[in-house]
Amino acid sequence: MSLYFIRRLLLVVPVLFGVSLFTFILFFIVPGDPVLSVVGERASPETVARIRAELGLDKPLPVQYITWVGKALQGDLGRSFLNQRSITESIQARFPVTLRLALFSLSIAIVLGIPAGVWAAVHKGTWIDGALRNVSLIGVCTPVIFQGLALQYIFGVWLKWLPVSGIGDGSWYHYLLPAVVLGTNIAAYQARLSRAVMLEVLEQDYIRTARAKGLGQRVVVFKHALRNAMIPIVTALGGSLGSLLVGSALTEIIFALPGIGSYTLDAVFARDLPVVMGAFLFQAVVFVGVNVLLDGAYVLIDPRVRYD
Amino acid sequence: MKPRTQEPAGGVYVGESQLLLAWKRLRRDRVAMFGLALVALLSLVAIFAPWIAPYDPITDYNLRNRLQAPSKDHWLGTDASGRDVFSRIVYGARISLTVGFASRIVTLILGLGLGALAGYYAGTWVDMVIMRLSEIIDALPSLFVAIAIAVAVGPGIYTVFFALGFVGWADMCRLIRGQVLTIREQQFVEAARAIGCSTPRIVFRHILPQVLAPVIVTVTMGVAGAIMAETALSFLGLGAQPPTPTWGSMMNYARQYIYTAPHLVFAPGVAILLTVYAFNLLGDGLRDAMDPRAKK
Repeated sequence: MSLYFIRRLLLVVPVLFGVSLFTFILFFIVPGDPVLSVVGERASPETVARIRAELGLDKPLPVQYITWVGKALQGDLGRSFLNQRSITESIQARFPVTLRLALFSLSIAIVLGIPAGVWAAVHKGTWIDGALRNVSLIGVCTPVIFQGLALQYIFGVWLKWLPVSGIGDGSWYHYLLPAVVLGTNIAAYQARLSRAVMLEVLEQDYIRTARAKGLGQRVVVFKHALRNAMIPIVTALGGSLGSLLVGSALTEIIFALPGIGSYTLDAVFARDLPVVMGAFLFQAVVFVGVNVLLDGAYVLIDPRVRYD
Repeated sequence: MKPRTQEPAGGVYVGESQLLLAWKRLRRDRVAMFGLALVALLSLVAIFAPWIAPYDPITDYNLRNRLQAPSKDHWLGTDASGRDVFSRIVYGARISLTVGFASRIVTLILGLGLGALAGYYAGTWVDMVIMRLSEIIDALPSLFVAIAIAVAVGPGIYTVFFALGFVGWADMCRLIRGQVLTIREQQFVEAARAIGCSTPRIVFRHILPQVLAPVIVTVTMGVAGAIMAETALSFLGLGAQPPTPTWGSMMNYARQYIYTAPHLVFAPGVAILLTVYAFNLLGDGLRDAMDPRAKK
């Protein structure tokens, strides 16, 4: 099994390499000179040349790229073009915000989504099922931007219960509205998925057997059915966790949270190439890392899963 | 059920009759038909926008009339320049639906082409290169990639078509590849090769029509996703540029007036919700109707 994971991790390397190359190429087809965006249009040619040399932009592109890869391997993602701050340090400072938001949102999604899906599946065809299906479909169809702004209006402006934006002193209630936005969104997907998977499992023969030998509804549903429905559910949760951990850019922007998502987005807009490359690489590592961990989780959930 | 016209033995025209059967199943699904009607209605609104909108969405501004609440003259109120919000929503439907469909065409061309190639040449270096490329795209969050492309190419409606079309190709590619892998082992493909069909003819004429059902479902769901993503891009100022009305940019401008004119946020928000909802209802129905295992 450890051999499997080693092979799996080795396969990740070319993907990460590709991600950084893709970002690099993307930003060198951008019209306009990155140096001019740093020093401004009116700088003298001497200043431009000096800054260009300082940023290492006077060297040929392959050399620039290889230098960057070499440093990235040592954990040094370089410095921002715009404010010279260390990118590794910025990511370290901002990741906790994204992490807290991600875990908060995911807990909301698990607590709401999975029980709703199971409940709907058990009561298939009744009004409970109908209501839950409609609510979850509407949840899936609500844009995060709209939900965010609407919640800001209702709780921040109208009821004045909660802070509308920023993280203030960092206490939990600053994360509440953004976490509800993301959490209910994921919960809606989870509910739809759990319902579909549970319906499939509940039709299996061994469920009939379990019922026939007189087991109670609770044991049949939770011990026999849900446990077997867990693999697709956990896969989807892992996917959600991956996208939450790379930063939910829109939510972070609407609620003015200083996380990874808004960091990346600001850099993309400012065409701050080193930050974009560093942030994209970090996101790819997190994304792929969650997927590798997920493979490990399958073994715990389903004893039939083995990696040889 | 009384027998229709004589079917050729062995179900030779599988491609056609399957679609016809699916359509019959879809027509019996009331929820899906409601979704289809809603999609048709929204499309008509987009096409006939100039006749439906009571005001011009760009030129009919009146600063003395700004930020008004909904009234008889302005059904959804007016925005910060005194423009009629209802008219801007109606015109915004054009952008959203065009992006929804156009970006799926880009995805379809890329995904179908590369997926068919990878599937047909499975196990060779062609397949290897395509699959590694799709893994790279998958390792990055799609919204960020779309945003990066939009910034690199420069904002605008054509950029949105391409950026959103591009981020979807990897999923489509894998779907097609998987389907092609199973289909190419079947006897009719061997027969086609035996009578001397060229490779492109086998792929496009014999294999791809078999893949149609899952593709139609994926594209329908994809339109909903693309409309949602377009909202995000134009919210960030990377979509169609002002003064062109888009639902995303309308929400972006509405943010600063959330205290005084919340209807400016709610009108485009509900419009997006309704459109995405319609495509999802239709997509769900299509999936059930096209699933060969579906129960009657």
